[in-house]
Amino acid sequence: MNLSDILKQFKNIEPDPNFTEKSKRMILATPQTAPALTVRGLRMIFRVLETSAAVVLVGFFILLITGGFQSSRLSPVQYSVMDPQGLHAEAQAVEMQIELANINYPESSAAPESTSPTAAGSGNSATSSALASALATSTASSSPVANASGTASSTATTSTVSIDQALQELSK
Amino acid sequence: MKKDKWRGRMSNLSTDITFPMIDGEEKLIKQAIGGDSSAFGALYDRYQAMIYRFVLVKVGRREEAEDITHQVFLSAWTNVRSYKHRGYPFSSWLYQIARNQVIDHYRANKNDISLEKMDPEYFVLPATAQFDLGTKLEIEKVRAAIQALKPDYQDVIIMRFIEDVSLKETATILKKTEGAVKLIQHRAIKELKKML
Repeated sequence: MNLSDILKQFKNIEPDPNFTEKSKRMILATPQTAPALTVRGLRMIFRVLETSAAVVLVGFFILLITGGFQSSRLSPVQYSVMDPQGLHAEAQAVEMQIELANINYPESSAAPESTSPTAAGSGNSATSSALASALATSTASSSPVANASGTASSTATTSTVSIDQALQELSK
Repeated sequence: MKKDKWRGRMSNLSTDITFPMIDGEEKLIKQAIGGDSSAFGALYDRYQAMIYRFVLVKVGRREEAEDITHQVFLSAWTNVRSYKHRGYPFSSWLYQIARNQVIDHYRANKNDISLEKMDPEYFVLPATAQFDLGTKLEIEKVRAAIQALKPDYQDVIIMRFIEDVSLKETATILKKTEGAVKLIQHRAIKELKKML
Protein backbone atom coordinates (compact mmCIF):
# COMPACT_ATOMS: atom_id res chain seq x y z
CA MET A 1 0.00 0.00 0.00
CA ASN A 2 1.19 3.50 -0.80
CA LEU A 3 2.24 5.82 2.02
CA SER A 4 -0.38 8.42 1.21
CA ASP A 5 -3.08 5.74 1.22
CA ILE A 6 -1.91 4.48 4.59
CA LEU A 7 -1.93 8.00 5.96
CA LYS A 8 -5.50 8.38 4.71
CA GLN A 9 -6.41 5.17 6.52
CA PHE A 10 -5.44 6.85 9.80
CA LYS A 11 -8.50 9.03 9.47
CA ASN A 12 -10.67 5.97 10.01
CA ILE A 13 -9.30 5.45 13.50
CA GLU A 14 -12.03 6.28 15.98
CA PRO A 15 -11.92 6.34 19.78
CA ASP A 16 -13.82 3.74 21.79
CA PRO A 17 -17.46 4.91 22.08
CA ASN A 18 -17.59 3.87 25.76
CA PHE A 19 -14.56 6.01 26.52
CA THR A 20 -16.07 8.88 24.53
CA GLU A 21 -19.34 8.77 26.43
CA LYS A 22 -17.71 8.42 29.83
CA SER A 23 -15.14 11.13 29.19
CA LYS A 24 -17.76 13.57 27.91
CA ARG A 25 -19.97 13.03 30.92
CA MET A 26 -17.08 13.55 33.31
CA ILE A 27 -15.88 16.69 31.56
CA LEU A 28 -19.27 18.34 31.41
CA ALA A 29 -19.87 17.55 35.08
CA THR A 30 -16.76 19.53 35.98
CA PRO A 31 -17.49 23.16 36.91
CA GLN A 32 -15.87 25.85 34.83
CA THR A 33 -13.18 27.87 36.53
CA ALA A 34 -13.25 31.63 36.64
CA PRO A 35 -10.84 33.18 34.16
CA ALA A 36 -7.51 33.43 35.89
CA LEU A 37 -5.39 36.53 35.87
CA THR A 38 -3.33 35.77 32.82
CA VAL A 39 0.06 37.15 31.96
CA ARG A 40 -1.62 39.44 29.46
CA GLY A 41 -3.94 40.75 32.16
CA LEU A 42 -1.03 41.41 34.46
CA ARG A 43 0.78 43.23 31.68
CA MET A 44 -2.27 45.42 31.11
CA ILE A 45 -2.43 46.31 34.80
CA PHE A 46 1.27 47.17 34.86
CA ARG A 47 0.86 49.30 31.74
CA VAL A 48 -1.99 51.28 33.31
CA LEU A 49 0.00 51.76 36.52
CA GLU A 50 3.03 52.86 34.52
CA THR A 51 1.03 55.43 32.58
CA SER A 52 -0.68 56.85 35.64
CA ALA A 53 2.64 57.07 37.50
CA ALA A 54 4.14 58.95 34.56
CA VAL A 55 1.21 61.39 34.49
CA VAL A 56 1.48 62.03 38.24
CA LEU A 57 5.24 62.60 37.99
CA VAL A 58 4.84 65.00 35.05
CA GLY A 59 2.19 66.95 36.98
CA PHE A 60 4.43 67.14 40.02
CA PHE A 61 7.36 68.42 37.99
CA ILE A 62 5.19 71.01 36.24
CA LEU A 63 4.14 72.34 39.66
CA LEU A 64 7.74 72.34 40.77
CA ILE A 65 8.95 74.19 37.66
CA THR A 66 6.22 76.86 37.75
CA GLY A 67 7.09 77.49 41.37
CA GLY A 68 3.59 76.90 42.48
CA PHE A 69 4.59 74.52 45.21
CA GLN A 70 4.89 76.12 48.62
CA SER A 71 7.16 73.91 50.55
CA SER A 72 6.14 75.47 53.87
CA ARG A 73 2.49 74.55 53.51
CA LEU A 74 2.86 71.72 51.05
CA SER A 75 -0.20 72.99 49.27
CA PRO A 76 0.04 73.08 45.49
CA VAL A 77 -2.86 75.54 45.13
CA GLN A 78 -1.12 78.40 46.92
CA TYR A 79 0.45 80.41 44.10
CA SER A 80 2.46 83.55 44.83
CA VAL A 81 0.65 85.40 42.05
CA MET A 82 -2.56 84.93 43.99
CA ASP A 83 -1.22 86.86 47.00
CA PRO A 84 -3.38 90.07 47.15
CA GLN A 85 -0.84 92.14 49.10
CA GLY A 86 1.91 91.28 46.66
CA LEU A 87 -0.36 92.10 43.76
CA HIS A 88 -1.22 95.49 45.26
CA ALA A 89 2.42 96.40 45.86
CA GLU A 90 3.27 95.36 42.34
CA ALA A 91 0.47 97.48 40.92
CA GLN A 92 1.70 100.50 42.84
CA ALA A 93 5.22 100.02 41.59
CA VAL A 94 3.96 99.86 38.02
CA GLU A 95 2.12 103.18 38.42
CA MET A 96 5.26 104.82 39.76
CA GLN A 97 7.26 103.64 36.83
CA ILE A 98 4.74 105.08 34.43
CA GLU A 99 4.89 108.46 36.18
CA LEU A 100 8.66 108.54 36.06
CA ALA A 101 8.68 107.54 32.45
CA ASN A 102 6.50 110.48 31.54
CA ILE A 103 8.96 112.96 32.98
CA ASN A 104 11.08 114.65 30.36
CA TYR A 105 14.67 115.26 31.14
CA PRO A 106 15.72 118.94 30.58
CA GLU A 107 17.92 119.27 27.57
CA SER A 108 19.92 122.40 28.20
CA SER A 109 19.05 124.81 30.97
CA ALA A 110 17.89 122.39 33.62
CA ALA A 111 20.92 120.17 33.35
CA PRO A 112 23.39 122.14 35.42
CA GLU A 113 20.73 122.81 38.01
CA SER A 114 20.02 119.17 38.46
CA THR A 115 23.64 118.45 39.17
CA SER A 116 24.19 121.41 41.50
CA PRO A 117 24.81 120.33 45.05
CA THR A 118 22.91 123.24 46.47
CA ALA A 119 19.74 122.28 44.76
CA ALA A 120 20.08 118.68 45.78
CA GLY A 121 21.11 119.26 49.33
CA SER A 122 18.67 122.09 50.23
CA GLY A 123 15.59 121.79 52.37
CA ASN A 124 11.92 121.93 51.54
CA SER A 125 11.71 125.64 51.12
CA ALA A 126 14.81 125.65 48.96
CA THR A 127 13.41 122.96 46.72
CA SER A 128 10.11 124.77 46.34
CA SER A 129 11.90 127.89 45.30
CA ALA A 130 14.17 125.96 43.01
CA LEU A 131 11.20 124.28 41.45
CA ALA A 132 9.44 127.61 41.13
CA SER A 133 12.45 129.16 39.47
CA ALA A 134 12.81 126.17 37.25
CA LEU A 135 9.21 126.42 36.29
CA ALA A 136 9.62 130.10 35.73
CA THR A 137 12.39 129.48 33.26
CA SER A 138 10.38 126.82 31.51
CA THR A 139 9.50 127.12 27.88
CA ALA A 140 5.79 127.39 28.60
CA SER A 141 4.40 130.82 27.93
CA SER A 142 1.59 130.59 30.42
CA SER A 143 2.03 129.28 33.97
CA PRO A 144 -0.43 126.47 34.57
CA VAL A 145 2.15 124.55 36.52
CA ALA A 146 3.34 127.37 38.71
CA ASN A 147 1.63 125.79 41.62
CA ALA A 148 4.29 124.11 43.76
CA SER A 149 1.96 121.34 44.72
CA GLY A 150 1.62 120.22 41.10
CA THR A 151 2.13 116.55 40.57
CA ALA A 152 3.84 114.56 37.90
CA SER A 153 0.72 114.68 35.78
CA SER A 154 1.05 118.40 35.50
CA THR A 155 4.76 118.16 34.70
CA ALA A 156 4.06 115.62 32.09
CA THR A 157 1.80 117.87 30.15
CA THR A 158 3.74 120.93 29.08
CA SER A 159 6.54 122.02 31.43
CA THR A 160 10.05 120.63 31.62
CA VAL A 161 11.64 120.09 35.04
CA SER A 162 14.80 118.37 36.17
CA ILE A 163 14.54 114.79 37.32
CA ASP A 164 15.83 115.58 40.80
CA GLN A 165 13.27 118.24 41.30
CA ALA A 166 10.51 116.04 40.13
CA LEU A 167 11.59 113.24 42.41
CA GLN A 168 11.74 115.53 45.36
CA GLU A 169 8.33 116.85 44.57
CA LEU A 170 6.97 113.38 44.26
CA SER A 171 8.49 112.34 47.55
CA LYS A 172 6.42 115.00 49.29
CA MET B 1 8.84 6.97 -11.50
CA LYS B 2 7.61 6.00 -8.06
CA LYS B 3 9.04 9.19 -6.68
CA ASP B 4 7.09 11.29 -9.18
CA LYS B 5 3.93 9.45 -8.38
CA TRP B 6 4.46 10.08 -4.68
CA ARG B 7 5.17 13.74 -5.25
CA GLY B 8 2.01 14.09 -7.28
CA ARG B 9 -0.09 12.58 -4.56
CA MET B 10 1.56 14.63 -1.87
CA SER B 11 1.05 17.84 -3.81
CA ASN B 12 -2.60 16.96 -4.20
CA LEU B 13 -2.84 16.41 -0.49
CA SER B 14 -1.02 19.59 0.39
CA THR B 15 -3.21 21.89 -1.68
CA ASP B 16 -4.70 24.48 0.60
CA ILE B 17 -8.06 23.54 1.93
CA THR B 18 -9.74 26.55 3.42
CA PHE B 19 -10.95 26.00 6.93
CA PRO B 20 -13.63 28.52 7.63
CA MET B 21 -15.32 28.28 10.98
CA ILE B 22 -17.91 25.56 10.71
CA ASP B 23 -21.49 26.80 10.66
CA GLY B 24 -22.77 27.56 14.10
CA GLU B 25 -19.39 26.94 15.72
CA GLU B 26 -18.97 30.53 16.81
CA LYS B 27 -22.39 30.43 18.46
CA LEU B 28 -21.51 27.17 20.21
CA ILE B 29 -18.26 28.66 21.48
CA LYS B 30 -20.08 31.73 22.80
CA GLN B 31 -22.59 29.52 24.56
CA ALA B 32 -19.80 27.35 25.99
CA ILE B 33 -18.03 30.46 27.26
CA GLY B 34 -21.29 31.42 28.91
CA GLY B 35 -21.24 28.07 30.73
CA ASP B 36 -23.56 26.07 28.46
CA SER B 37 -22.32 22.50 28.84
CA SER B 38 -24.46 21.15 26.01
CA ALA B 39 -22.82 23.60 23.60
CA PHE B 40 -19.41 22.38 24.68
CA GLY B 41 -20.71 18.84 24.35
CA ALA B 42 -21.44 19.55 20.68
CA LEU B 43 -17.91 20.87 20.21
CA TYR B 44 -16.59 17.77 21.95
CA ASP B 45 -18.49 15.50 19.56
CA ARG B 46 -17.16 17.43 16.60
CA TYR B 47 -13.47 17.42 17.50
CA GLN B 48 -12.84 14.57 19.91
CA ALA B 49 -11.94 11.94 17.28
CA MET B 50 -9.57 14.32 15.52
CA ILE B 51 -7.69 15.16 18.73
CA TYR B 52 -7.68 11.50 19.73
CA ARG B 53 -6.00 10.51 16.43
CA PHE B 54 -3.47 13.30 16.79
CA VAL B 55 -2.53 12.10 20.28
CA LEU B 56 -2.65 8.40 19.41
CA VAL B 57 -0.20 8.75 16.53
CA LYS B 58 2.16 10.64 18.79
CA VAL B 59 2.01 8.43 21.89
CA GLY B 60 1.14 5.06 20.32
CA ARG B 61 -0.94 3.55 23.12
CA ARG B 62 -4.69 3.69 23.29
CA GLU B 63 -4.91 4.09 27.07
CA GLU B 64 -2.48 6.96 27.06
CA ALA B 65 -4.17 8.55 24.07
CA GLU B 66 -7.53 8.33 25.85
CA ASP B 67 -6.13 9.86 29.03
CA ILE B 68 -4.47 12.71 27.17
CA THR B 69 -7.54 13.36 25.00
CA HIS B 70 -9.66 13.51 28.13
CA GLN B 71 -7.22 15.97 29.68
CA VAL B 72 -7.26 18.11 26.52
CA PHE B 73 -11.03 18.51 26.56
CA LEU B 74 -11.17 18.91 30.30
CA SER B 75 -8.63 21.70 30.05
CA ALA B 76 -10.54 23.24 27.13
CA TRP B 77 -13.81 23.16 29.08
CA THR B 78 -12.40 24.66 32.26
CA ASN B 79 -10.50 27.36 30.37
CA VAL B 80 -12.92 28.06 27.54
CA ARG B 81 -13.56 31.55 28.96
CA SER B 82 -10.02 32.52 28.08
CA TYR B 83 -10.51 31.43 24.45
CA LYS B 84 -10.04 34.25 21.95
CA HIS B 85 -11.36 33.80 18.45
CA ARG B 86 -8.69 34.82 15.95
CA GLY B 87 -10.36 33.75 12.76
CA TYR B 88 -9.31 30.10 12.94
CA PRO B 89 -11.43 27.11 13.82
CA PHE B 90 -11.80 26.00 17.41
CA SER B 91 -9.72 22.95 16.47
CA SER B 92 -6.59 25.15 16.27
CA TRP B 93 -6.91 25.91 19.95
CA LEU B 94 -7.56 22.25 20.77
CA TYR B 95 -4.48 21.21 18.77
CA GLN B 96 -2.36 23.61 20.76
CA ILE B 97 -3.66 22.21 24.04
CA ALA B 98 -3.08 18.67 22.76
CA ARG B 99 0.50 19.45 21.77
CA ASN B 100 1.20 20.84 25.22
CA GLN B 101 -0.45 17.86 26.89
CA VAL B 102 1.68 15.43 24.87
CA ILE B 103 4.83 17.35 25.76
CA ASP B 104 3.83 17.25 29.44
CA HIS B 105 3.11 13.54 29.13
CA TYR B 106 6.57 12.81 27.74
CA ARG B 107 8.18 15.04 30.34
CA ALA B 108 6.37 13.24 33.16
CA ASN B 109 7.14 9.76 31.79
CA LYS B 110 10.66 10.48 30.59
CA ASN B 111 12.24 7.60 32.47
CA ASP B 112 9.45 5.09 31.92
CA ILE B 113 9.59 4.99 28.13
CA SER B 114 12.24 2.99 26.35
CA LEU B 115 11.22 2.09 22.84
CA GLU B 116 13.91 -0.55 22.40
CA LYS B 117 12.97 -2.54 25.51
CA MET B 118 9.28 -2.74 24.72
CA ASP B 119 7.48 -5.66 23.17
CA PRO B 120 6.49 -4.82 19.55
CA GLU B 121 2.97 -6.02 20.33
CA TYR B 122 2.73 -3.15 22.79
CA PHE B 123 2.56 -0.72 19.89
CA VAL B 124 -0.08 -2.45 17.86
CA LEU B 125 -3.01 -0.12 17.83
CA PRO B 126 -6.05 -1.64 19.45
CA ALA B 127 -7.98 1.25 17.98
CA THR B 128 -7.61 -0.11 14.49
CA ALA B 129 -9.87 -3.06 15.09
CA GLN B 130 -11.95 -2.40 11.99
CA PHE B 131 -8.98 -3.00 9.67
CA ASP B 132 -7.69 -6.32 8.41
CA LEU B 133 -4.44 -7.63 9.82
CA GLY B 134 -2.31 -6.50 6.85
CA THR B 135 -3.64 -2.91 7.03
CA LYS B 136 -3.24 -2.91 10.79
CA LEU B 137 0.41 -3.84 10.49
CA GLU B 138 0.97 -1.27 7.77
CA ILE B 139 -0.68 1.41 9.85
CA GLU B 140 1.35 0.48 12.89
CA LYS B 141 4.55 0.50 10.89
CA VAL B 142 3.87 3.99 9.56
CA ARG B 143 2.71 5.19 12.97
CA ALA B 144 5.91 3.92 14.60
CA ALA B 145 7.93 5.69 11.92
CA ILE B 146 6.01 8.92 12.50
CA GLN B 147 6.57 8.60 16.23
CA ALA B 148 10.31 8.33 15.63
CA LEU B 149 10.29 11.70 13.83
CA LYS B 150 10.95 15.02 15.50
CA PRO B 151 7.87 16.48 17.25
CA ASP B 152 7.49 19.24 14.64
CA TYR B 153 7.69 16.71 11.81
CA GLN B 154 5.09 14.56 13.55
CA ASP B 155 2.72 17.52 13.94
CA VAL B 156 3.03 18.54 10.31
CA ILE B 157 2.53 14.98 9.00
CA ILE B 158 -0.54 14.44 11.17
CA MET B 159 -2.12 17.81 10.46
CA ARG B 160 -1.34 18.06 6.78
CA PHE B 161 -1.68 14.45 5.59
CA ILE B 162 -4.00 12.80 8.09
CA GLU B 163 -6.33 15.60 9.16
CA ASP B 164 -6.04 17.77 6.02
CA VAL B 165 -5.48 20.94 8.00
CA SER B 166 -4.65 23.92 5.78
CA LEU B 167 -1.13 25.24 5.53
CA LYS B 168 -2.13 28.53 7.09
CA GLU B 169 -3.85 26.93 10.05
CA THR B 170 -0.95 24.50 10.57
CA ALA B 171 1.42 27.45 10.60
CA THR B 172 -0.74 29.18 13.19
CA ILE B 173 -0.96 26.14 15.43
CA LEU B 174 2.78 25.48 15.26
CA LYS B 175 3.55 29.22 15.56
CA LYS B 176 5.64 29.15 12.41
CA THR B 177 5.52 30.79 9.01
CA GLU B 178 3.85 29.04 6.11
CA GLY B 179 7.23 28.77 4.41
CA ALA B 180 8.70 27.07 7.47
CA VAL B 181 5.79 24.60 7.56
CA LYS B 182 6.34 23.78 3.87
CA LEU B 183 9.99 23.11 4.57
CA ILE B 184 9.20 20.92 7.58
CA GLN B 185 6.62 19.06 5.52
CA HIS B 186 9.15 18.35 2.79
CA ARG B 187 11.78 17.17 5.25
CA ALA B 188 9.30 15.10 7.25
CA ILE B 189 8.11 13.21 4.18
CA LYS B 190 11.67 12.63 3.08
CA GLU B 191 12.58 11.33 6.53
CA LEU B 192 9.51 9.14 6.72
CA LYS B 193 10.19 7.59 3.34
CA LYS B 194 13.74 6.86 4.39
CA MET B 195 12.51 5.07 7.50
CA LEU B 196 10.01 2.96 5.66
